[in-house]
Amino acid sequence: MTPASRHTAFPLLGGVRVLIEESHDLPLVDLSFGFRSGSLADPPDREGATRLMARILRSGGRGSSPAQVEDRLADLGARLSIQVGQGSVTLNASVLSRNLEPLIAMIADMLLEPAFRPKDLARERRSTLARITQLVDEDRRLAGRHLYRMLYPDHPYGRGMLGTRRSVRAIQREDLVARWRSTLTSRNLVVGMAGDVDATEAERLLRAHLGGLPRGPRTPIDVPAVPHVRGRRARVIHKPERGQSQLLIGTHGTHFRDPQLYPLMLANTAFGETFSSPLVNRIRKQEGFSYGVGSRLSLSQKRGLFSISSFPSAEDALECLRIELELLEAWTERGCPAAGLRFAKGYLVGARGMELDTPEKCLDQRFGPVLAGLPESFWDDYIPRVRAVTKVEADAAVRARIHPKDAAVAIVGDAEKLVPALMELLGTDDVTRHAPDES
Amino acid sequence: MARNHSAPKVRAATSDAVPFGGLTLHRYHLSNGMELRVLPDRRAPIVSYQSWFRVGSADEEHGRTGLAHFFEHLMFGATERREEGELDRAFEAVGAEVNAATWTDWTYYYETCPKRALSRCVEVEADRMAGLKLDRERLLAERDVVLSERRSRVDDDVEGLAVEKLYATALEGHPYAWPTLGWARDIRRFDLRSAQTFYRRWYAPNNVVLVVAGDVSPTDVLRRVEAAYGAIPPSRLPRRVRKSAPAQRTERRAQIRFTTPTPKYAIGYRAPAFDDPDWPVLAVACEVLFGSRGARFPRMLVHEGELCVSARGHVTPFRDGGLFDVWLSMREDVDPASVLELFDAELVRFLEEGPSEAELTRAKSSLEFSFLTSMETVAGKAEQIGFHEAVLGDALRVFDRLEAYRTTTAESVRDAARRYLVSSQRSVVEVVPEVGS
Repeated sequence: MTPASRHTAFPLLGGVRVLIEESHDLPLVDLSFGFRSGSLADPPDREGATRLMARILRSGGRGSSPAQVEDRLADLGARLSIQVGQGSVTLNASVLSRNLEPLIAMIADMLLEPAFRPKDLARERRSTLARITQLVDEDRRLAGRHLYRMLYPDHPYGRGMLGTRRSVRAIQREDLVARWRSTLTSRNLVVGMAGDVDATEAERLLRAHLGGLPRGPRTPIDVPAVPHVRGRRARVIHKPERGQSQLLIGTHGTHFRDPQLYPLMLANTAFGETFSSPLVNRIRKQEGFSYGVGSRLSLSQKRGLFSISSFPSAEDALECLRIELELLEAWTERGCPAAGLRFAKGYLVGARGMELDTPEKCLDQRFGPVLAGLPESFWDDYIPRVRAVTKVEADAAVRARIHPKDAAVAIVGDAEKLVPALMELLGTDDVTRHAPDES
Repeated sequence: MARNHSAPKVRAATSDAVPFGGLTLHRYHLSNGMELRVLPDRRAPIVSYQSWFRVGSADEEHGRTGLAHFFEHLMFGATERREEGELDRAFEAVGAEVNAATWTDWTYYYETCPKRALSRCVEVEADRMAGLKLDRERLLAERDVVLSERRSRVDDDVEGLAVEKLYATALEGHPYAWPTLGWARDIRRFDLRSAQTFYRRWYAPNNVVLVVAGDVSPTDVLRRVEAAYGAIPPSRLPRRVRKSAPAQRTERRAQIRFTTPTPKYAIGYRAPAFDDPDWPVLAVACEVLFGSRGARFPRMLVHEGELCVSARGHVTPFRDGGLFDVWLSMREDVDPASVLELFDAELVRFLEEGPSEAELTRAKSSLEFSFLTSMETVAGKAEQIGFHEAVLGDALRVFDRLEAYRTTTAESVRDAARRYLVSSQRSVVEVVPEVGS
């Protein structure tokens, strides 16, 4: 596939990696400033500190108020957001190209001179506590949160980025300053620009405005290995009034450097990633249980999540779960049919073109790996590697990585009925009931 | 069910080519009534293929609400040439993204795929326009799926439920009052005969605009489309007698109870039709009031006042006029009545003073920015063309709207706001939290 833009990359300013995808079709530039340290670096009793620090960056530098920041962004016709991941903090922005320099100047002010005013911390703390309260309305997120806690009980992956009411209340200004100092350094920084900008102009702008970024220590990407959790378990988030049940099944999956990565990606596509896959055919089309159903592999530094998600009616939830477990077991025991794997190869190879049709998407293909500490070319040989996977490799990868006997189940519904029924269906006493507002 | 057709007989009756955002849009009218729009854009080797049918939930009737959306699901079933499930498989085998959407005035089906799959798109879409097989078993299975979708989007979702109640309250007497998903009692009653009648009536070449954008040649697309669709006969489309909802003279109030931690409001002011000159002006007003974190209401109620967790506004792009709708979700221990008072007081100030020049400039920049980002991909361009053809009958109107944003003045925003954002033309749905589990 031909990418939609011209790519260049270069080092700058004591360790910053700069990636450019140049295209002048539209007068727009997408910007990404990614720092290689995220919520996993939150101190144990300060969960949510990285997210709070990142949100306060948006309040502006010492010379400006939050309202002035928002007015200035609007004046520039710019959009800006800050995302916190387990291993990164990323500031994304888009702007009309004629306003690129003032936007970069403004971002530099946010990153280099944050005020961390006590009133900004107090406001963002209240906002985060309100957000935690609102989570009660979001059944799928609630189920996801509990699934992670079951599968990663003593591991950083089991902690949320938002934090808990207790941890958020405990965070102090010095915690934020400490996270800012250790995260926002030039050695942690990856800059991406896509669209109506060239490498010369990008370099000039970054030198002019980000020269003051401290070099600092490079934060090691050091995630402990994921301990195997044996046996089945389940959590029921008690909402007896719900007409449908958010249902998640999860096991440990794969990671970026896993030799089984491509075989497992292909096998998952064949099993439940597409609309015509066996999982979707059975649960949605044959049984009519759930409008949405699918399986997903999350990629991480260490073994991330493999999950099956669906939302059957409350009456169908147990039967839906039974069939999904049956399909999961059959997949791991018997493997994928050869025709299914051929189909999955066609899907993944063909869909690759849709991942390269804008400069921003082309940038993502390189920016993501570099931010994760991987080679910029990590996805370059995607198509030949997908094509090279054999059925023997795919089946072996599923057997090696996916263990239905150790699956965890998170479900939102009536705990009075579901807890005893799940104990029987899963063959375990490890089924617990949880309130929706449990932090 | 299939409509037989033999060898293609129909040729493009008329054609022209017009500039479209730095590209050229080729327009064809086939003699069976079909409209074809082709936008060559060779930046990436992909194609977006979109079929926009001029039928939506506003074309339904009482007792059969949700049929347009339900039919969208059925269109992925078996045809004269394909078994159940083969359609998705055929597209996914080449990596295509395939889906569909239904709203009040339209239903559209799309594929975004590698350019080598163009012939597959043409063949499959022509096949399901003319040769869909409908049977009771398929209908029953899909009915359960649609009920699941409804539970997910409405029955178990506080915002979905409140907005459904808002439209039912505010637009009573007009088809826009019922949800595009349909009332659950109507979905449970769908039968084969209704589905067959709906298909015969609306799924025909003279009720569709086909948009093909991407790495294609217009003459090649035309040749393929003529060969595949040319012999499909037009249907006798019912004469549409559509008008605005009955006039509203006093504020309407409704309340729902839901297990949710905090109170919420869904508020709707009567808004003009999408082709009314007031529509873009009201869209600018909406941008001033709600368009960014620094806009009036998010700033006042969310970020500075800390009374709400979200404050959003939106003007519906409906053919017959819809709502300027507002969603306010409050924080814990906040009195909802006091939030509504503050909201009203700020709105009165806006109606008196209008936007400042700085607010107006920001709103216009933001709308222009949104327009540019909507045109980044071939699928985005095809969607703009299809939507404007389906609702306004002319793809080029997209640029008129952009120009209307640019020429809007503070006075015209204030005047439009004074005509529409008034309490006598608004409806308010209050969500009262219930103690749950």
